[in-house]
Amino acid sequence: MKLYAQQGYGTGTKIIDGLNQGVVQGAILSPKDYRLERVNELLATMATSFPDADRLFDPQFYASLIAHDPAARMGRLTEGDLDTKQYPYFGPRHRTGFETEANIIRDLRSGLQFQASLNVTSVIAPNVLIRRSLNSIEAVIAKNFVRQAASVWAEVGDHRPLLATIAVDSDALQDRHELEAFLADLTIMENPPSGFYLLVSNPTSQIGPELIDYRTLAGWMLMNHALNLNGFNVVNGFSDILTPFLAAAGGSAGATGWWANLKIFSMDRFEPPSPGGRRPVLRYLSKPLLNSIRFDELERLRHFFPVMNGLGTDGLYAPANGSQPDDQKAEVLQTWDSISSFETSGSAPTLQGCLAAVSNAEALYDSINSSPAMRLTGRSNGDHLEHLRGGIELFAQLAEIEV
Amino acid sequence: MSIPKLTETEIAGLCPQFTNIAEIAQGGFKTVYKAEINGVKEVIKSVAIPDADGSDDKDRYRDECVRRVEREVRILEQCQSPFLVKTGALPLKSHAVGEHDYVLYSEEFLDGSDLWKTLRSSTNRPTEAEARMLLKCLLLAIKEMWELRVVHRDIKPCNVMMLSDPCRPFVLLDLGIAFSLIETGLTHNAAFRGPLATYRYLAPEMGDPNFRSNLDFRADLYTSGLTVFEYTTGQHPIAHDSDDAIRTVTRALHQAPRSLGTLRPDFSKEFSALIDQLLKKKPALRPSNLARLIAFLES
Repeated sequence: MKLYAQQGYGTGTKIIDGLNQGVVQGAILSPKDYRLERVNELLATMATSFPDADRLFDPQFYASLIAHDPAARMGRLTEGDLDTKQYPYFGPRHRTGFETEANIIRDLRSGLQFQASLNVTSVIAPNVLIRRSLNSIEAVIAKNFVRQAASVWAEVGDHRPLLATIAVDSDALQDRHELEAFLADLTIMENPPSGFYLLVSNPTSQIGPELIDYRTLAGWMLMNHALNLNGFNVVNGFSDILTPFLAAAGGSAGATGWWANLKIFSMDRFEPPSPGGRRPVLRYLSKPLLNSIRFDELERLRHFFPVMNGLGTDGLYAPANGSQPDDQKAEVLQTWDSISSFETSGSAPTLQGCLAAVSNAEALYDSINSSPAMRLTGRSNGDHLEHLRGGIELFAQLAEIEV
Repeated sequence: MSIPKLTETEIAGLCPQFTNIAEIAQGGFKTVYKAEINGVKEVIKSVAIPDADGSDDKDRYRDECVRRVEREVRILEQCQSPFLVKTGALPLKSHAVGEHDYVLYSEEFLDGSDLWKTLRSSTNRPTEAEARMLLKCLLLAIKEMWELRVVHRDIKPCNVMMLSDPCRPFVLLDLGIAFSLIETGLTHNAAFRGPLATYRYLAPEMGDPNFRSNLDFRADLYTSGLTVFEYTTGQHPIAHDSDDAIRTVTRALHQAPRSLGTLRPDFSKEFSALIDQLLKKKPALRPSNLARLIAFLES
C-alpha cells in the first residue's frame, strides 16, 4: 500500500518533508492550486531527490462542467488567455458536448499530450464527474472517456502507465445493482488503461468529513477489489483514513493532504465560496481510535488512554506544548505517518486486520466515553466506527468473500 | 410426437461418400454417427427439425432450430483454435426423410473420452498440471470465440473431450446454444425449447431475464471454473446429484460454492484461488484478462 500526498494550496515543503521522512511514497499534484512553473519545479525536485517516489498530476478536468460559473474557484486552471494559459487542456465544457465521441477524444488528446510534457511517472486521463447515478448519461460519458483513453495515449506515443479517472458521487455508489453493472463494463473493456484513479465525492457527509456512509465505503472497496482482480492498478485520491480499508480490498495506493478539502474529494473546492469559515484546530490522527482528534483532546486523553500511535511523529505533539503541534506541516506529517503505518513489514492491510482495528477502536471509545469528563464529542466521536464496520461487512457480502 | 432418429442405413443413403457408419450417441434432437470418408474418421451429426403443424409459432420454432445449427457450423468454420472442434467434409444440408426434416453436417472425429465419462469412471484425480492445461485450453477456446463476439454458454465436462494428442489435450465441443452478441437472438418463443443450458452448469447471470443485454465471455469463465472443479474433484462445487432443477438453479444463483482448496489441498493456493474466483456470482469479480490468465497458467 502506497500513500501519496494529495497536493493543494499551501504546499510549502510538506511533500518534500514527507518524502524525506518516508511517510509518503509520492504525490498527486493539483493544477488548481499550483502554477505550472511550480509544478515542474516540484516534479523535478522529486525526480532528482526521490527517484523512487511516484509523481502524478490530477488534471482536474471534472471541474470543467462547472467552469462556466464566473464565481467558481478554478484557480490556476483557467488563468491566462488563449496564448498564455498554463493549463491549455482545461476550459468550460457542457455535458451535451461529450455526447459526441470526437469531443471526448479531443479533450483526452489535449489532456494527455499536456501530461506527456510533465515529468510524471504515470499519467491520469481526464474525465467528468458522475454526479447522480452509475446508470446515467454522465456515467456513459465517463465510460467513453475510459474506453478511449488508452488508444489516445498510444497515439501520443508515450509508454508511461496510464490511469483512467473515475470520479463519482458517493450516493451513486450506493445502488449495488448499478455499481455491479458499471464494474462489469469497466472490467471488460477492449483496450483498457493500466489502472484507475478513483475519486469519491462526498458533499453531504453527516459524520466526520474524512469518513463516509458504510454503503459508499463498501462500494468504493468493491471497485478497488474488482479492478484489482482484473489486473488494474488502483490509486484512490482523497482517501485519507480510508486508505488502509481500500488497500485491504485491493487498492494499491491512497492519498491525503493537509486541508479538509484535500482529505475528501468534493466539488465544493471549485464552487463559489460560502461566507464564514475559520482556520481549523490542529488535530492528531489516532490509529487506535481510527479517527482524528483535536490536539487539546489528545492532551486530555493521552495520559489515561492508549490513544497514541507510538510512531516517530508523536514527538510533534509534545506534552510540554500542551500536545499542540507547531503548524499544519506537523499535523500532515503525523497524518501521513499514521496512515502509512497500517502497512506492516511491507504487507498491505488485510480485511481481518481492519475489522480488528475497528473492534479495538470500539472498545477504546467505550472506555473513554465511560468517563464523562473524557468523552469525545463532535467530529472526534466514535460514530464513524459503525460505518467502518458496516462498510467492511457489506463489502465482504458484495465481493462474495468471508471475513 | 417424437421425431424418429435416422437409421444408419438412412444416413448412408443421404451421405453416400461416407462408409462404416455407426451411431455413437443420441441426445435431444441430435444423433451422432461415427463414419469414414476417404479413410478419415469423422462424426456425422443429424439434427431432427420439429414437425410443422400449420401454426406460425411452430414454423418460427423450426426456423430457429435450423438457424441454431447454421450458427454453430458457421462459428466452428470461423474459429482456428485447435481447442475447438473442427467441421468435417459434409457441409450443412437439410434433408426430408419421410414426413420429417433433418439437418446433417459432419465434424472431425475426436479419438478420446469426454470429461464427464472420465470423472465418473475413475477415482484417479488429475494433477494440478493437468487441471491447468484443461483451463488453459478452455481459455484459448473462449478467447477465440469472444473475438467473434460469441459466448459458448454450455461449457461442461461432457462437452470437453480429452485427447492423447499433446498439441490438443482438451477440445471443446457443441456450440448448439452459443450466443452471438452481434446477431439477432434466435429464440422466438422460449416455451418451445428445452433448457437454455444444462442447469448444473448455468452461469448465474443467465438467471437474469435481461441477460441478453449483459452477457459476455465471463459466463464461459464461470462454467470453465465449474468444469475444472468437477473434473479435478469428482464433485460439483454447488449442485447436488439429488437436487431437482429448481433447487439446482437456486443454488447457482445464491449459494457460495465450495472452495477447491478444501477438496484438493495438494493444489497450489494460487491455482485454487483462481478457480474459486472464477466461480463468483458477479461477472465483475471474475478475473477476465485472458492474456494474463493464460500467462499465469503457463507460469
